[in-house]
Amino acid sequence: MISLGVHRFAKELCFVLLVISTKALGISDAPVKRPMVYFHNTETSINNFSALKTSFDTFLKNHTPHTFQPIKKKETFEQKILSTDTGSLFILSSWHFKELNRKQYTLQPVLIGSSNGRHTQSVLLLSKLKSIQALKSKTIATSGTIDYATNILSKIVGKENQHLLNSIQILKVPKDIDALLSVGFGVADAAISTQDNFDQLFYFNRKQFEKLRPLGEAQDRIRILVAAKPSQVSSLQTTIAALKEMGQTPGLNKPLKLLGLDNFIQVEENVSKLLNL
Amino acid sequence: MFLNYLTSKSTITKAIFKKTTNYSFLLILLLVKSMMHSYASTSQDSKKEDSIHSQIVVLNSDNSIAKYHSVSREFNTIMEQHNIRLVNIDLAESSIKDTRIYELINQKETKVVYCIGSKAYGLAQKAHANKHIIFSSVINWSRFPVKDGSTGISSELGPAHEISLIKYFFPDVRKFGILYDESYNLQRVKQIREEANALGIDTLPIKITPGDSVLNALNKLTTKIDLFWLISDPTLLASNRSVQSIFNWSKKNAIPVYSYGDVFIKYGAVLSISVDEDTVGRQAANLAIRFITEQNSNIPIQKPAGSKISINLCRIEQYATPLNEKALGSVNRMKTCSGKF
Repeated sequence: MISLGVHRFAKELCFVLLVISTKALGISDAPVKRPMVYFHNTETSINNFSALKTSFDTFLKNHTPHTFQPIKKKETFEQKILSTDTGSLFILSSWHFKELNRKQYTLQPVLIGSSNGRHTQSVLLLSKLKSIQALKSKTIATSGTIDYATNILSKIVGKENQHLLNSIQILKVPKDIDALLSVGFGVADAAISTQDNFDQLFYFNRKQFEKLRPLGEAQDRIRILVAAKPSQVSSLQTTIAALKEMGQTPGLNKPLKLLGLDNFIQVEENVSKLLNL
Repeated sequence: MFLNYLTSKSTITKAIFKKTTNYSFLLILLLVKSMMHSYASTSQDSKKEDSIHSQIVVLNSDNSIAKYHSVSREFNTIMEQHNIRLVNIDLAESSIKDTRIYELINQKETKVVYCIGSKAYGLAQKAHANKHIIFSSVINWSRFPVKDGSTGISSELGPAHEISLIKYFFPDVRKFGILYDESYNLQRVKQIREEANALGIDTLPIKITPGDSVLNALNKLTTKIDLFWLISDPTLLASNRSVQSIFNWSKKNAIPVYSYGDVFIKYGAVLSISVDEDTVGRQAANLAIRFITEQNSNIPIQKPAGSKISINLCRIEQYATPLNEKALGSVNRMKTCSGKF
C-alpha cells in the first residue's frame, strides 16, 4: 500500500512539474497574436506615432482587443497586409488604397474619415508664380511621399506639361502647414496642400494666404480610410463600431483629431465609385 | 586610386580607410565597377551626367549626435537616389588628417562640401578651396564668413514660422510677454517684435540682467499678456530655480508658456516648436543638387522648413486656453494628464 501510494505521489509530482515547466517555457501555449489596427499615411510625413499610439490604444483598450500600430515604411505596411491572418484593420490614404487594389491586394473599405462634414477634399498646388510653365526647375514642398507628390503633380500640370516634372525638385516637409509657410519664407516656390489646410492659413497668416494662388487642383480625393480583408470584415464589426463611435462621443475624439479628422463614417456606394471599386 | 574607388559610393569614414582588407578591397572594386557600369548605361541627359561625375564631401562634426545623424542620413539618402558620389567624414570618429581633408575638398570632382555643425564648417573654410560650401546645424552662423557660392540652412526657425504656428494652435492669443538679456538676445527680440506685429500680435518684452529676480520681472507681465514666450537666454535660464519660478508663476496665474524645446513640456509649457532635422538634411540635399545641376552660385541662406511640435493638453485644459483642434493633426508629441511624455 505504501509503495503504491509513493508511486502515485511520484506520478502526480512529475505531472505537476511537467505542467509548471512547460508553462514556464511557454511550450503548451500557442503564441497569442493580437489583432491590430495598422496605420500608414502616404499623405503626411509627420512623425506623431507615439502620440497616435498612446491615444488610440487608450481608446481601443476599453472597446476591443485591437491595438494600434503605426508603421513608417510603406513596404512594411504592405507586408502586414499580406501576412496578417488575425483580423486586423488598416488605416491608410485613399491614394494608397487605390494603388494597392491595382496591385491585387484585396482590401475592402469599411469606414472613411470625415472632416467638416465632408469625406472628400481637394488637393491644391499653391504658389506665388503665375503659371504652371513657371514651375520649370523650381522647388515644390510637400508633406506627402515623393510618389504621392509626383502623382498629384502629374495630374495638376496636365499631359502637355509632363516634361516639367523632370526639372522640378521636391522638398519633403513634415506637414502641409510647413509646406505652405516654406513658400512664404522663400525655401520653396510652390506647395502641395489640402484645401482644408490652406483655408486654415487664412486665420493664422493672412498675409501669406493672400500671396498664394492655386496653380491647379486635384478634386474630390477621399480622405483617410479604414479597410480590412473582405473575408474578415464580418468578424471585425465590434471594432468597426467602436471606431465609428469615437467621433460621436465628446472627449473620445482626440485620436481622430491627430489624424486631422472629425469622425469615421460608413462607406456609401458613391465612395466605392470614387475608389474605383 | 584606391581612394577614388572607395569614394565612388556612399558612406566612408576613417575606419574604412584603416580597416579595409584585401578581400573587402576586391569586393568594393567589383561593386564599384558594377555601379559605374550601371551609371554609364542609365545616364540619359546632361544633368544626370553632371551628377555622376560630381562628388560631394560631407564633413560631419560628430555623427553620434542625434540631430547631426538625422541630417546626414536624409542628405545621404537623397544623394544616393541621384547617384552622386559621397565622401562622408565623421570628424569625431576619424583620425584622418586635416591636410588629407583639404586634398579631398580640392579634388577636381568635388563640387560641393556639405558641413554639418560648426567644427565642420570651420574646417572646410580653412581648405581655401573654390568649391560650393553648404552648412547646417551651425549655431549663430553669422559669426562665420559666407563667401560667394556658399549657402546653408540656419539652425533656428524664423520667428514668423513660430508665430504663425502659435496662432494656428491658439487663435485668441493677442499679446506675448518675453524676458530677455539684451547682451544675448537684442536682435532676436527685435525680430520677434517685428514679425509678431506684422501678424497682428503685440509683444511686451522686459529686459533682465544677471542677478535680477526673474519672478519680479514676471510679475510685471501678469494680467498684461496672453502667453509667455520662453526664449533661449542664458540669463533667464541661469538656474533650475529660474526655470521652476517661471513655471510656478505660469501655473499660479494660468498664463500659458510657449518654448523652443520640448524639454519644457514636462515642466508645464503648453506648446513647443523646434526644427525638424530630417527636413534640414533634405533642404541641404536640394541645395547641393541645385549647385551641381544649375551651375547656380547665388542661393540665399534658408531657414529650416520643417517643424516639430509638442503640446501639453493637460495644461491647456487647466488654463482654459482656447485651442484650435484642427491644429492637432500637426502635433508630433502630446502630453496628457494621465500619460507620460
